[in-house]
Formats: sequence, C-alpha cells, structure tokens
Amino acid sequence: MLKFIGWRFGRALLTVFAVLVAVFLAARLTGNPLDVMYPDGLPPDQEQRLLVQYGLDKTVPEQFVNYVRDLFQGNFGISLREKRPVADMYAEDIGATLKLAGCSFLLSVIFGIPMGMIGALKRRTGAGRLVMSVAFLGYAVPHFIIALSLILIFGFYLHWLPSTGNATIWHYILPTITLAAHRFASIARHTRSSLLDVLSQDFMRTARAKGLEERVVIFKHAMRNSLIPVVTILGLQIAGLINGSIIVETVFSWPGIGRLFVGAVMKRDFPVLQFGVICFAAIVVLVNFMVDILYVIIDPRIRTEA
Amino acid sequence: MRNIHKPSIQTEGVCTPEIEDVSVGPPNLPPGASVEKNNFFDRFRAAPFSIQLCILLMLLMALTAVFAPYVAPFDPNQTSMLERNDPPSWMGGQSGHLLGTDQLGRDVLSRCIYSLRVSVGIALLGVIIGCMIGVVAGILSGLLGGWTDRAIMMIVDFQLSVPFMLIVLVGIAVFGTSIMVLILLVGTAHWETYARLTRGQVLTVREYQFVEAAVALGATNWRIAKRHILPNIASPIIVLLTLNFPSILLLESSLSFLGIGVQPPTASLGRMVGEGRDYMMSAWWLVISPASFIVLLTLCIQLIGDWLRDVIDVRLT
Repeated sequence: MLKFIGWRFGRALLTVFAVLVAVFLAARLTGNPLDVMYPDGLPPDQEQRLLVQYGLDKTVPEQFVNYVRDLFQGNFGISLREKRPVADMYAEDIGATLKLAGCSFLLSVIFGIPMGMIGALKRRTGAGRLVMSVAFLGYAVPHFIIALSLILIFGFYLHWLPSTGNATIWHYILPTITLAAHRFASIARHTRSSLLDVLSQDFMRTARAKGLEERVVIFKHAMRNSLIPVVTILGLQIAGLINGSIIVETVFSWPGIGRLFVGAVMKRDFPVLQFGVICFAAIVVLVNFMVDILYVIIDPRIRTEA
Repeated sequence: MRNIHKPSIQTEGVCTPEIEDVSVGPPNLPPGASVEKNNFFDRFRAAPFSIQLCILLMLLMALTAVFAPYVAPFDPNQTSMLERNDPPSWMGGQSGHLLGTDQLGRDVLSRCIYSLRVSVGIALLGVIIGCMIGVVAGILSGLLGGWTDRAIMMIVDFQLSVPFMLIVLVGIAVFGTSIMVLILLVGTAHWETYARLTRGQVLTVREYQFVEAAVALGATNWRIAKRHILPNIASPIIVLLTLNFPSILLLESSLSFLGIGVQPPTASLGRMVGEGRDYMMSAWWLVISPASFIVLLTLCIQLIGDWLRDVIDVRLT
C-alpha cells in the first residue's frame, strides 16, 4: 500500500513538473514580455536595464531554474497589465469560484446518483426513459446555451432571478444549475451503466434467492458495488468543472478565477495565465491522486501493485 | 497458442458437431470480428426511427454546408442599416428575412448556413487531426514498447490531467486567434482516446498467430500496422470519431462564443450566439437560431454515436 501511494505520488509530481516545463516553454514562445508591457517601445538603455531586472538576458535553461526557484519561494510573477502580484489576484477571486464549483458539484452528485439509479432500475418505464433523456440533453447541450436559455427564461421574461454577479444567495441559482448540468448528466449516465452491470451479476440472484428484501438487495448489494466506478468518475469531474466554470463565470459575470483567466487570454497577460494553469493542474492532479487512494480503500480487490 | 482443433480430440470415425463447427469457422479471428458483411443500407434500415431521422438530418446539414453559396438566400456579410434587428418574416418582420436580421441588418439564416460550414469544417478537421495523432501514437507505443511506450503514455496522462480548455486558452494566448491555429488546437483534443484504443488493440493483435506468422515471414512493423492492426481498429475508431465530433464542435463554439475563437467577419455558430447575447432582450432570434443549429447538430451526432457504439459493440474506456 505504501509503495503504491509513493509510486502514485511520484507520478503526480512528474505530471506537475511536466506542466511547469510546458508552461515555461509556452511563455518563452510568446516572445519578449516587455513588448506586451510597453507596446510603444522603449529606449535601448532602459530596455537593457529591464531585461537584466527581469532576468531575460540569461540563457533559457538558466531562466527555467530561476523560474522554478521563484515558484518555490512563493514568487509567482507580476501581472503585465495590472502590475501587481498574480497570487493576490487569484487569492481575491478563488473564493467565488470554489463556492460556485462546490455548490454545483454537490447538486450534481445529489441528483446524478439517484437519477442514474432510476434510469437503471426503471429502465423499461417512462420514468427511466425521461430521466435518461434529461441526462442526455444535459450532456449534449453546451454550457453557454443552457446559461443563455436560463437567463432568457428566468431573468428576462419571468424576472424571478438575477443573472449577473454574486451579490446574494439568489445569484447562485442560475450559474450553479448551469455548471451542474453537464456533471449531473455524466454522473447519471455512469451510475446507470455501472448499476446495470452489477444487476446482471450472479450474486444479485443469490441475494434475491436468499429472500432478502428488495430494498436491501438494491442498496446493500447493488449500489455499494456499482458506486466504485462512479467514485473514479467523480475525480474526473473536477477537470470538467474547471472547463465549465471558465464559460459559466464569463456568461454570468461571476467574479471568479475562470473569468480572470479568460480576461488574461484576451489581454495576453502571460504571468496570470501561467499561474492559473499551474494552480488548476495541481488541483486536478491532487484530486486524482486522492481518488486513486480512496479507490483502493473502498475496493480491496484492486491490486495495489503499480 | 489457441489450438482448438487438435485431431486428438476426435474419436475414431466419429466427429461431434461442435468440433466440426470449430474447424469450419475462420481460424484466429479476434473476438468481436464478424465474418458476414454488413453494408450501410442494411444497417440504416435496421436502425430505430429516431436514428434514421438523425442521419437524414445530418445529411441535409452536410449538403447545406457544402452548397452554402447556392442555398443561402442572401449574402451573409451584406449589411443593411435600415433593416437592423428585424424579426423573422413569419413574426411580423418587414424585410422578408426568414429568420430575421442581426444588429447590422445581415440575414440570420444565411449567416447560420455559412456558420454551419465554418463550424462543421473546423470540427471535422479537428477530429481527423486528433484521430491521426492518436492512431500513430498508439501504434508507435504498442509496437515499439519500452521507452517510446512509456513516454507516449506519460503524455497521455498529462493530457488527461490538465483541463483541456486551459491548454487551448494558453495556445490561443501564445499563437493568436487565426483559424489555422484554432483547427490545430481543437485537433489536439481527445487524441489520447484514440491512442489508448490503438495501443490496446496493438497489444492484443500482436499475440495472434497470424501476426506471429507475419513476423516470422519478415514483415516490417509498418506492414503489420497497415495490414493487421488498422483493419482491426477501424470500427471502434469510427465510433470514437462520431462521439468526439460533437465535443470538438462544442469546444469551438464555446471558444467562439467567448470571442477568442473564430474572428469576425467570419461567422461561426458560437460567435453568432456570443454576438447576439447583447441584443437578447430585444432580438431573441439572434441567439435562438444559431443556438438551435448547435443543439440540433450535437444531439443528432451524439445519438448516432451512441447507437453506433451499441451496434458495433465496442467497449471504450
């Protein structure tokens, strides 16, 4: 077990390192950051001074070493546009994103798993088909169209809910539903197929033959086994949540890091992008690492050899 | 070794029907491969009505996209200041535009038709690029093994662990927003699905006797890949292509919607939705029309993909 954890941890570190290298190379490909900061050009002596100040006169490998050292010292760079530390900018906005993503994640799990169960247990009835059709729609319709439809209906026509910002609790409803739609659909679909797999197993027949109540058969024997693959899917949802929050935050003017990120792409503010990618990647890698370990704890049958 | 028909099983003079069946069957076929030839029309007729409808709709959309200049009633970029935000003609619009006009007086239907061309074109090229990268990487990984395999699988892990939207956004920030860059970037989406599929298939096929025989006869890796591996992965690849297509289409339209995908004056479905958003209160048709095209396209292809997966019966991880 310890060996397994160590091995997985090593791979996680390696991935984060690969992200660091990739981001660094991408940053060098954008050319001279001074051109972005001072679009009108600089006198040669000032330019030379700034090159030395930012360490841009060194060779690329030397720059990489400095860059990694700066990261470890907590020095994540200065925004080219706003001229302040990018870490501060992210620190201001991450709360809003975490709240939105957390609510959506909870909502999608709370609805997704029971919906998937209905889809599997009542698959030949209208209810089962309806549930899976809704899940299918949630899966195939893009975030921004769901968002705009909700804004049109509940914001413009009915005037029930606000559609921009995050001032009150009412502001959470539309973005949370939008962001949860995809995740809900994917959780429901996976729960359904995994439960269907389990339902056709021999031990289900045995459980029924023993005369157990249907409730016990479903919840104790079927659900427990079918949730194992779903747990892995939950880990992968995090990457999906981040993808989605970039769109959803922009549509709903949500003051989170997704919107910050899109803004940085448009302004070509590379230090902001760089920090964002490293943060997001680290979060995803960390979550997947924890899911892997959780997986082994839930299901002792999985061999812990790498 | 799978020596099913050993003569030693046979008893003197008697041959049980099961053994005869085995010896008649094609030797060494991989599981799931079928001998009978199914042509497209047989499958189409056997499909449920909803799938037939989807396929017909897709054909219609494809034809519309290809023949856009002949189908579109107006020039998509022709502006007309007098006919700005005119509602669809069947809703009281004065200028006779079937789906109304946009904020610059351009015909929405014509713009949708041209956008269809751009969006579908980008998604199609993107899917093909991704498929080629993935298949080549999978074959290299499976056939060469060792360090090549490990390196490629590490890149696959990398791709899986970084949210793909971030890679694309950084790519756009670095290379700018031209249509070529966009195609290449969306092309790198999902290549890892093909790579994993191909690699798995290579590892399976390599164990079959006919491949062993081919190696013994001096076949090169290239020949084995072409003659023995590609035919075996053709059908799951088609399923993957159909399933990945809508997600690439959505990626492009999301980017264009944010304003960092296809750039004006080129119209793309996502871009039209993004531009129409500002006028949504007064001119809802600017958003509804392109959005319906997007939803219809993705729903149909997704349904076809799900159906194909069940028919061809591939297990995709």
